[in-house]
Amino acid sequence: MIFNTWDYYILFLLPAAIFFRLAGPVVRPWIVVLSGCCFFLYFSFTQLGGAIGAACLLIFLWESFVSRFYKPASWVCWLGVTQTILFLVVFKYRNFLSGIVWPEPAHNPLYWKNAFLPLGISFFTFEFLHYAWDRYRAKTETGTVGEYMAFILFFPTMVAGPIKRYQDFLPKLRAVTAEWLMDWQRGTTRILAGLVKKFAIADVLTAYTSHLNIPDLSVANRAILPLWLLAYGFKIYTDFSAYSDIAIGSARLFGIRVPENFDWPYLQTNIADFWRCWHISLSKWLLDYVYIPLGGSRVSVPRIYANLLVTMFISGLWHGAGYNFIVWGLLHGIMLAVHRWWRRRPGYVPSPRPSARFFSWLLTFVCVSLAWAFFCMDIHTAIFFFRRLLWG
Amino acid sequence: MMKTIRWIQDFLEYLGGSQDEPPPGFSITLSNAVFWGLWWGVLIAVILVFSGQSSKFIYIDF
Amino acid sequence: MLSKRQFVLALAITLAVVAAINVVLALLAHRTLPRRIMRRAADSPSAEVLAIGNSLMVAGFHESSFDSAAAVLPAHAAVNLGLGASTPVEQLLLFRYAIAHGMRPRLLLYGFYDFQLTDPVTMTNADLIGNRAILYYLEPEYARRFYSLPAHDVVEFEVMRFFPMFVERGAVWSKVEEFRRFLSQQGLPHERTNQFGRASDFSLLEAASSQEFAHHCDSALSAGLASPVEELLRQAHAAAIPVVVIEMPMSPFHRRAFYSSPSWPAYVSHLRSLLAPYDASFVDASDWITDGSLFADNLHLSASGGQEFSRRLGDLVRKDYSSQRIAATTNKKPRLMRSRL
Repeated sequence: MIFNTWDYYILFLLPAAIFFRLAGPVVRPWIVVLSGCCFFLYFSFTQLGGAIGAACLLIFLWESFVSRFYKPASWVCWLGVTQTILFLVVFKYRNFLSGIVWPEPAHNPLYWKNAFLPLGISFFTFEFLHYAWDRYRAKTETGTVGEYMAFILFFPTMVAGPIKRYQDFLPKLRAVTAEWLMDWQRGTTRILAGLVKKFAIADVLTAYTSHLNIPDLSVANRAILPLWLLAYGFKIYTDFSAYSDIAIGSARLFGIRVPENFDWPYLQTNIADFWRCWHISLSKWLLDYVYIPLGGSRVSVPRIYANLLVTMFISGLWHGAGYNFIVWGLLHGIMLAVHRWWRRRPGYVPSPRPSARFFSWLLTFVCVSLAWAFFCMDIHTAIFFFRRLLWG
Repeated sequence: MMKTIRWIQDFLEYLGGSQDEPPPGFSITLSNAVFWGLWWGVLIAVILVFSGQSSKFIYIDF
Repeated sequence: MLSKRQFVLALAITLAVVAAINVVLALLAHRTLPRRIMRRAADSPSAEVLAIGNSLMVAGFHESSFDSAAAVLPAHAAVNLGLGASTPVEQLLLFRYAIAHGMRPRLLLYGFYDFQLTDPVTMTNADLIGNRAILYYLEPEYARRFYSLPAHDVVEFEVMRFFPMFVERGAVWSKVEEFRRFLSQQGLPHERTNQFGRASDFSLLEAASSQEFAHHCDSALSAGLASPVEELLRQAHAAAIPVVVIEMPMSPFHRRAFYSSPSWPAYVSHLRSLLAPYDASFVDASDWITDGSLFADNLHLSASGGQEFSRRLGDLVRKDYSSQRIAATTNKKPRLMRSRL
């Protein structure tokens, strides 16, 4: 983890944020670019992939170059989309996809033994795709090369999001807020609160979640199994929302407000609202760049359900290159489809009674919690978990 | 009940740095240096106490 | 609207809170194990047998059992300055600390296992927690000669050593870790623990396989003593303190898995040759305890096992390190043994 190192705060965040504030509008994007490049090189080299990982900075430089040729309705935008998907396939999905044909690594001619993931690949590729697609549809301006590089190399959000939109980021980059004291107060508080969430809650819950494996599940008391799964649901929420807090707080030190990523998802009373409040930047990205291009809700009912399943299939696959993530995504797709069907039944009227709201909340919470089993365990282990839970 | 839950959410968000305005009825503003200084101190203390990683510990005799 | 004054005041109050935390930790630090060991060393100037080493010595050396078997006078009772999780660097520092506080042992017992005497000591700043925190405050500049830290960690070390909240972070974290382990145990069969932690964790301190162990033996045949070990032996030799290097009792599992390979005796033979210039004796006690139930885990003796080992060691010291031998070495009137010798 990068956000729990002294280096992040002392070598990168504080100097970059201070210089950014002191610099004029022309220099500011380049401060972000320079600090982002140094950040990527430093943490790639020390934590991920060594020199080869660090060399992946060339991906950003190449993307910056190609992006200058994006024009509305231009084939170059499709080139940009294709190359970004290729980056994902090569680095993140190569072993998984080739493993479908050749399951045994020893017999897999495409197996990459020392595979590594470039720092933040799941996030920066989605920002590349968004920009290429929105330039194609003329939904965003080009900006200068420095501004676009600042967008993709903004290091607070590089590692774990939130996934930004260029149209939102650019005005904030150009006109940084003058209330820097307020920004530093709120940003510092947000970072500290995020670290507390990560260490004092998420990491403590690991005491339970580390047992979600077959050897421990085999010998555990059945009564503890629901607690372990619940603990996982809270651990992943506090863990991920903590990263978002630190990222958002860090960005606030620059005077740049990035989108919120979580809005009390476990308090929502239906699965659609859950996904409006869980990893919001990803949900919005999937809505805008997968669900709506597929037709969204403007097509026939069976197509709508198919679009939901496809969208959540991609969501699952984005989270990890494994069948269990696909199952998890599809489960959520099914839940969303069922929710949509339920809401659109003829004569359906939402009940105002508190008991109905409570039941809806409980049902949503239980379904989401059960689905986590496929997120944190491989399929075989998850099935074993449910067998032990239900039948002993 | 829903109002109370909403208030608690707003309160936690304010304490956690997500919101700039205090929830209704909470009089401590961002200009209250003593409160925020102490709050940051508490957060740092909690971070110090909980930031040890389990993987570091084989021996625990100290 | 927030003013600069208010923001700076908040920061100042935060710093005051952090300073208060440091003061409290500094006051509580005397309770930590390394400091208690240091106090023990300072309070035992008349001890005539000094035992040092890591947790194997902590678990294995029972002072009273040794004293009875070795017929040591109570006024000069043996003292065990073994420190869990320590490297030869910390062991050297504790030896020096004891000598600096007036201890003049007639015998130094130095326990080890596997490759501790020849493996170079490399650490990162992140490793300096718990008992190893002693490196922050006991002759830190001197100690740095004997272990390597990455350049980046040197900077961290030099900043952290002045702040109790960093120096004692391991002691703070251990309380949370104990809580996490308590939570972790809910709903699971009880796992074996000993005074140092979870018994199963100590298998992590053994080689991953017999092949890896044998390979380590072979490559260590060209190694000299680790620099802190060499320095400890040199200083003991210069102070005319006879040293007995003890290959500590190992569990039947460990001996079967690793010591049965022909590479191990070859390494031990090499070790003996390295010790010779310092007149250090070598005792192979690795097979003294053959009953597996006398071990608390793969490496450490249980309380009963420690007593048995200490009695046998005491017998050996009484027979082989007689008053005449010690007197001949030190030219001092022996007080170690009872008058029957």
